[in-house]
Amino acid sequence: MLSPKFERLLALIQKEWLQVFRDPSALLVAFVLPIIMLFIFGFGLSFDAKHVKIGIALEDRGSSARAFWNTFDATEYFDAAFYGNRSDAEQALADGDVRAVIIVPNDFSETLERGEAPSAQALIDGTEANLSVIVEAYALGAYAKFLTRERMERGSSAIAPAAGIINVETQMRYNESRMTRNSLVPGSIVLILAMIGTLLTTLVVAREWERGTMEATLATAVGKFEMILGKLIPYFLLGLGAATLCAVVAKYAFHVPFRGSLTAYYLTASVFLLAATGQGLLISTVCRDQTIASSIALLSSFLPNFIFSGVLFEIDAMPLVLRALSYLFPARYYASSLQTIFMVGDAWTFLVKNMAAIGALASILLVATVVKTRSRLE
Amino acid sequence: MFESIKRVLLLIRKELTSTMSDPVGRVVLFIPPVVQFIMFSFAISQEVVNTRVAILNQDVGVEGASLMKSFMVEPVFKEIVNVTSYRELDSALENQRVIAAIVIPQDFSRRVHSPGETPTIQVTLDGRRANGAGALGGYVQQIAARFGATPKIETSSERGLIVRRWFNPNAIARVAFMPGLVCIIMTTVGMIVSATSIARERELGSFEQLVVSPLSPLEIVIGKAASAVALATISAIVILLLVVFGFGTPLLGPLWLFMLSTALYLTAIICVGLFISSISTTQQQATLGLFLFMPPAIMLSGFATPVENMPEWLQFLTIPNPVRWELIVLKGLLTRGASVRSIAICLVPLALVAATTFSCAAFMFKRRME
Repeated sequence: MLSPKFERLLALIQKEWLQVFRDPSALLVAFVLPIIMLFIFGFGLSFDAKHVKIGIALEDRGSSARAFWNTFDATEYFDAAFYGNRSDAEQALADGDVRAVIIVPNDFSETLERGEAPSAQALIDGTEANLSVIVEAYALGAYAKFLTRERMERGSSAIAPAAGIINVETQMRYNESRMTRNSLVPGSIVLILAMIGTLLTTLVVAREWERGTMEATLATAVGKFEMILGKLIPYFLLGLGAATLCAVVAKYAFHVPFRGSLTAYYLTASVFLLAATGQGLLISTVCRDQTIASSIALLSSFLPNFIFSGVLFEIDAMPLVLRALSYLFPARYYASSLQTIFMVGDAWTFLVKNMAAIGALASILLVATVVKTRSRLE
Repeated sequence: MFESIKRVLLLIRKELTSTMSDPVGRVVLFIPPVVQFIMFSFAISQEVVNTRVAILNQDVGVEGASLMKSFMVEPVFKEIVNVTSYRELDSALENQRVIAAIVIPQDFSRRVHSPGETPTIQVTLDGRRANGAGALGGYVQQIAARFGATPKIETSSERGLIVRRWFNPNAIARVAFMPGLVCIIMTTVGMIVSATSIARERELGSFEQLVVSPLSPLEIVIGKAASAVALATISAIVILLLVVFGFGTPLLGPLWLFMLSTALYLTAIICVGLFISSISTTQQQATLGLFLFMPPAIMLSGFATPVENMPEWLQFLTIPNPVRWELIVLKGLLTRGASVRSIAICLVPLALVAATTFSCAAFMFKRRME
């Protein structure tokens, strides 16, 4: 026979389960939101810049200047538009019509004829910080390519080379196809599980505190631990369900490699979900009000997970205080674990270290919840 | 007609007083925006700095050592980890102790000094770091090019392609992300004010009172939308003042353009919120509905990565996304000083989206009330 404690726990889980399945909004978050998020990270976000719109202002109408323009237009990185003068091109840059302007001065062909490397100017829109670095590298590359070709055509070594003396062989390890999608899609799973674990739990439990049904349940034979487990287990399982969905969609719809094992995948997901649901339970136990609880969940879960996961933003570039703070958020460890499981494989030393960190944070959150629940009732 | 306007104004007044007198309402309206703004403005950066890189130098000659030295002085790198074997290199990379590993092969010095041969170095980047790895690869290339160029070209640096970065010459991430931040915060405030408003009244029971009042459904929607727009505009102004005086980023375009686009944008966003609110029966549903709309809309706006990096069909699909247009307006006004004409063009899609979402909210609301 089952012990009465266990039976009560099962009844609580069953009750919670029925509640989830009767409210379409919770199911939307558990199963539709993951697909939307994966879709966004798979298609909508990308660091791969191609066909960047640039403007070329030709002040020199010679054939060499035109050849220079063609070099830019011919690469898949740029779509080059022609501007008759410098000020029109600069206005287009200010209006955001183009991301960069290349100005070819009127002595361009002449300098080249003299056998010197001609100068040209590149104005880059610095408001797209990341894009501007890439555009700069592409532009310098295109210029070097143009010079090399001119030298070959003229058969002279008179034109001093500007770049490309050291050959740099670049290899993108773990992501041979160089698709940022392979790293962004696993990274988005952090946000999905955090939303299910923290946001959903916060909303549900805060609502029960607000309405007083939490106290009503606790007035019955149900103990505090059973109560907490009865809330934790259903959302934990819902999270694991969403994690399964994410892995399937990532692998079969987005063709992200899955090089690790399912054991590693589910182990890390479980530890992270414990931390996420623990956080949700704690927030909702501390503040009864749904509106405040959801605002806090948004501030302490969605945004930090978005920023501190390091998926889209660089943790290394943050000020020291924030870098230190990032160690307190499970997302930091989970995002790199997920990327490792998908792209590298079972690198156990790395994974175990990260899991231990998440586990420590999870136990702090859960212990705090137990303490808080007890003090709330006294 | 006159009576109707009077009723709407009364409803707006009631809405404003009830929100401002409610401590919860005040907290939701002003604390999260300020916290977000401060946190985001320091945290958000895609700049590649303070990185750790491993170098395996197999070259015993002078050139290899001097190349290493030129890597060491680069501000991009915080630490150069010297490794002695490929095994050590692989493990540093796998455990994310370093983001990239550079190998200087043993014939490097010899090749530098023999004409006709090109010295080669290998760079292995951690592909897990989508943003960092790509940018770092570019930096290594630039450093190598500079190293190669120094002894050979005596002419001044005014030769070749001279690159200037406009609008943000020092590539400060905070400047680049400022317009996006303003946009996100306005969106969050607008959505929170509107999405829970009707659902909250329904849950608290005060909704029935509104229904039996002489207000028509259309008047209720107008009143709710207008008061939410007013509240969100106040917090938008607070944020603008913070940007201009706190961070010293001047408003480069006319103020009226900022206000007009903000009002249009907030109307569009708030009507989406009212629509979500009118189809949900509880606050919980409204909040979750908001979460289904807001993160996708923000992420598909060009905030994190540029819109032009998306596949073309997706760029087309984001045309009805109001966040995308507001972001163009704010970038133009706050960072580039774009021409009035180019900004005014974005007001057209914003106005169309606002009109559409308003009609949807009014329609849904009318159906729910009957």
